[in-house]
Amino acid sequence: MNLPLRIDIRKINEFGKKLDRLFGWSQIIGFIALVFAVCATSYYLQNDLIVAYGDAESHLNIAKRVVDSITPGFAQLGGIWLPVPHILMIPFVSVDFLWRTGLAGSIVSGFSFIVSSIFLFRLLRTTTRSTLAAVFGAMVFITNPNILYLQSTPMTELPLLMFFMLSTYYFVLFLQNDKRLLPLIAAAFFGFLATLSRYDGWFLVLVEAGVLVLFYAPKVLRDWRKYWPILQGKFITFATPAFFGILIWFVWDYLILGDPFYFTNSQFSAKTQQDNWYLRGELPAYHNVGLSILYYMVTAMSNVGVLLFVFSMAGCYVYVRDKSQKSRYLIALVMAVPFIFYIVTLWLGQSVIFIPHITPATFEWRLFNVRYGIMALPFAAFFAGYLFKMTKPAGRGVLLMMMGFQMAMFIVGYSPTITLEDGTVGLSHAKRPDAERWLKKNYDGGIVFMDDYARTISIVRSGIPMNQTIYVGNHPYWEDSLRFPERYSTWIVMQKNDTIWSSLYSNPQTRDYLFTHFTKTYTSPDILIFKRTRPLTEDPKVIKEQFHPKVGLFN
Amino acid sequence: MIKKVSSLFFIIVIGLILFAATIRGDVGNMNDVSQLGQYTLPGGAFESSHERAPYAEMLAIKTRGTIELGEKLADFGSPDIGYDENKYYSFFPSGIPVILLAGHTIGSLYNHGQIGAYFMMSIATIITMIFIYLICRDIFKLDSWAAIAAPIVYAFGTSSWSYSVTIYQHAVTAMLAMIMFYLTWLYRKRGKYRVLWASLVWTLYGLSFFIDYPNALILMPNMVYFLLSSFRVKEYEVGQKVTFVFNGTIIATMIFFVMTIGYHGYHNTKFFGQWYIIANSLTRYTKDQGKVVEIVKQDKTEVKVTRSLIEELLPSGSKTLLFGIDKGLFLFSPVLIMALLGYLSLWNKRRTMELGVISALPVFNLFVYASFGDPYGGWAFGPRYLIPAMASLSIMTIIGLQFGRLRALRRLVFFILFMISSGIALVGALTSNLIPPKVEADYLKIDYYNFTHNFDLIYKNASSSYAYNAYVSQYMTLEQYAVVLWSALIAIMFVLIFLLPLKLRAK
Repeated sequence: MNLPLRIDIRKINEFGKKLDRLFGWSQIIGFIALVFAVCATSYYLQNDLIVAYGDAESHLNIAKRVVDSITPGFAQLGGIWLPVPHILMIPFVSVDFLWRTGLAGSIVSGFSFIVSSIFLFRLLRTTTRSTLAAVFGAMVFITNPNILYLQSTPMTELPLLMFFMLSTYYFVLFLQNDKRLLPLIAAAFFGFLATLSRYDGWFLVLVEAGVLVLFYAPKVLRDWRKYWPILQGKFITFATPAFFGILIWFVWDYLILGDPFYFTNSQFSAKTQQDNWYLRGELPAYHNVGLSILYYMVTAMSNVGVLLFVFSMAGCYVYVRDKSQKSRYLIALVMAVPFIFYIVTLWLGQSVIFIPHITPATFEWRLFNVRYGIMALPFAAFFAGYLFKMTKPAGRGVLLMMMGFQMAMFIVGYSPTITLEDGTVGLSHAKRPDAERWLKKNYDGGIVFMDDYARTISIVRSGIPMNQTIYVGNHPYWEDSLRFPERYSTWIVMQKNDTIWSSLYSNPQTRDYLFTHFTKTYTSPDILIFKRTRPLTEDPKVIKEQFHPKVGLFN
Repeated sequence: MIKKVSSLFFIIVIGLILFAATIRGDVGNMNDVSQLGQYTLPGGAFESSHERAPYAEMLAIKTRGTIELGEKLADFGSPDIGYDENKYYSFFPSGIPVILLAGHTIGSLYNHGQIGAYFMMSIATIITMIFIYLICRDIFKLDSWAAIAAPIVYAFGTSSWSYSVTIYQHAVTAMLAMIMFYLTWLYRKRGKYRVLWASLVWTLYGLSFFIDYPNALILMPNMVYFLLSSFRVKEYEVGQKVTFVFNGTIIATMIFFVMTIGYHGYHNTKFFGQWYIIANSLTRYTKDQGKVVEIVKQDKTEVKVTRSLIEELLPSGSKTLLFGIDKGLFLFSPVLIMALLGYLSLWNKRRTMELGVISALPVFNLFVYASFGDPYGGWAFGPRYLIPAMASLSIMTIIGLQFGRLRALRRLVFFILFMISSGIALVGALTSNLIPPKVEADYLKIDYYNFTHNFDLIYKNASSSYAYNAYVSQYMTLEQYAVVLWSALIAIMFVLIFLLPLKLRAK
């Protein structure tokens, strides 16, 4: 009955080395990630899901406005969302097709996904010295449906993940051999880019700086004279570039918006939005450590997949108990940065997650921001890979089976692709009002005045050219249009209680003024669309004056 | 060998006595459903539709030779009854009614048909006890006292007791889980009966679908163990040559699984129209004050598993099943908390595949039912869905007493927890399983939702025990009866965990 299969390990090793020589394992992993990324993006493009998130379009539009707007320029990057993901999109959004389909963002996120996969693989290979375990860990990362969805969208999680992986990889290299300075500088450089991608990056460099101190602390205590200057030197070498991104952001906000803390003080900030949830009594994790931990753990579990998450936790436990691993606690701490960051911000009320698993049924929304859990995927993949290395063949078989079983659970719908659900039925989804379709059909040119912050309609979907819109970031056209809407705009799109509605429609006097120049062409309970009654002058001189307010109408 | 036989004999005797003392029901064969109304009240043999529906199907098989119930039996089994094209079927698979039939037939010879049918569940638990003993003894190499204590913890220290004296499928599922685990271990040992063990494992896995549909998932760790046991890795020199030997027996004997599953498909096609349509996907039939009401009309061809199990229910379901005030495993059977200690003790000492599998069984069990829309199991005493898990956890609990540090303290804590757990289990077994989940109790303004109600029933002398009602009630109150049984039980456990180890050490 026995069916023996004799495998010569030397031959396998030789084959592996041959593959490595021919292509390099990193390239093979990169190629696999590329195939998965292209397939996933094609699928989501076909199903019109790339710009499913409301934020996804906002990211595309921010990048677009830098190069194509009434007032183009880097000031369009704004002061709330960090700029690097938008800057990376700029070359692609210039092509209208890529902007409107969202592919401009997919290219950036997809590239980030591939780089992240490669460096996760490298990190695992460096740590475990096992190519097989590294491939397993990388495959856990690459085949995750949630990351496959997010890498096809213009969201900012993937660029951050890329910089997180790069910074972590080089930082771990440094911890393994602190005589080499280059990895530390590389870690700091990618940390710098991470700090300008998402606020999670700030926490990453803070933790890395802390880990650096902890790494040298025992040596400093042992031999103060020798190691204190070394610690100082290494800390400054790391911290100067790593924290420079944060400093840049403060300066930027101060110079452009007049407040170095604009990103947290402004009415558009996440903090302000969280305050609204708090007032409604729907900020469950605020100042509650247990719930903060629970919310993030469940969100991470749901993103990673229940089974793999459990195994990765076991892997983490085995890792920190493995005395052969140098600086294991410090490396585990760096890998756990997303956990700490989100738990702290949930506790502080700086972020909010609603996930149906634990969000009370009485809440208006039970699915929001669950994509934050994807930041835990490198952690899970890393420790699952480590567990793979540490187990015997039977254990590896179980791990492979569990990975397959987890995939099956995603496929049959037991575990939903929760990031996609949030973008389609959760609070993060972009609205698709009838007004959008109406405008797409009836828009015949001219400037559209709208409050883009209220996300009344989608610019990419309605077919309006970006340089034909006036929104809150177009100074001084925005402010001027709120008083004299007829000056530039042919169309006005307003939503109940948005800034335009409040300025022009709520007040009977301004409403009368509005109707002297515009006709209501579309009405729905929430959205109104007006079209200018008389066309704007076609005299080029007047147009020039209108668009150069300092020498024209504003004087 | 003699020691083993005498231990098994002891376990069987204890099981027979305590189950006989608590078995539910009344004298008579109970073939005529029109006469059974009096037993449908709380505490009666047919208090729940979970008992009525399989019993009705058993009667249908016995009297009409078919699983189609007919209106009278359907009314009796309602609301766990489905109908399709004017025919009525029990919502549950046919395995349990077939098992009941054997007991009912034998019992009928002595005018105790119903008791005989119910006792089949007790026998299932006694078989589970035997295999728990064998697992402890042969696989985990526990001392005799520990190997005897483990099955007692399962059968009488957990709420499984309540479900071993009446009709529920969980006792049989637990039995299958333990038998399959042990047989796979025998298969892994590569003895001369390897083909037989493999055939039995496949057959039992196939038959488990006739007991309860979720068994396909609950028993998965056993099947993974079975698969992994078919591989052998030989490493001739470190880092040189490795031979993977795959034992083809697992493929060859799969025919038994294919046959049982094939029969299941044939059964479904014959009665429900398609091989993949199962009984509980039919339209629910219920009777309300003599009037037929269709509660849930559903598309019977829809695959139910993807709708029934949802990940988002997992956290709340786990909380309910483990710690809930109405159904929490550790509330009803606090002794099982010590399973974690046992696991950690053995993990540090001996990491084997068997330890992994015995730990995975309760995890899978919890995983399946915590993801289920109704983790409470309706009106039930304790977490009835976790009964298969209790068997594995009992083994782990006892392992914690033999290995690790501070064993005397562990045993003392165990003994206290066992006293509490067995007390709770006993009051459940002696009274009623009809305990609403808290959410339902709140809605219906019922002031009880856990075992405190069963204590009230004890004080009110509201017994469901046949032995007590028929023979003992004239001599003592139910409270006294419970104390007698409980005292006997804890005395046995005291001897097992405090005196026998001393004797062993003295030897």
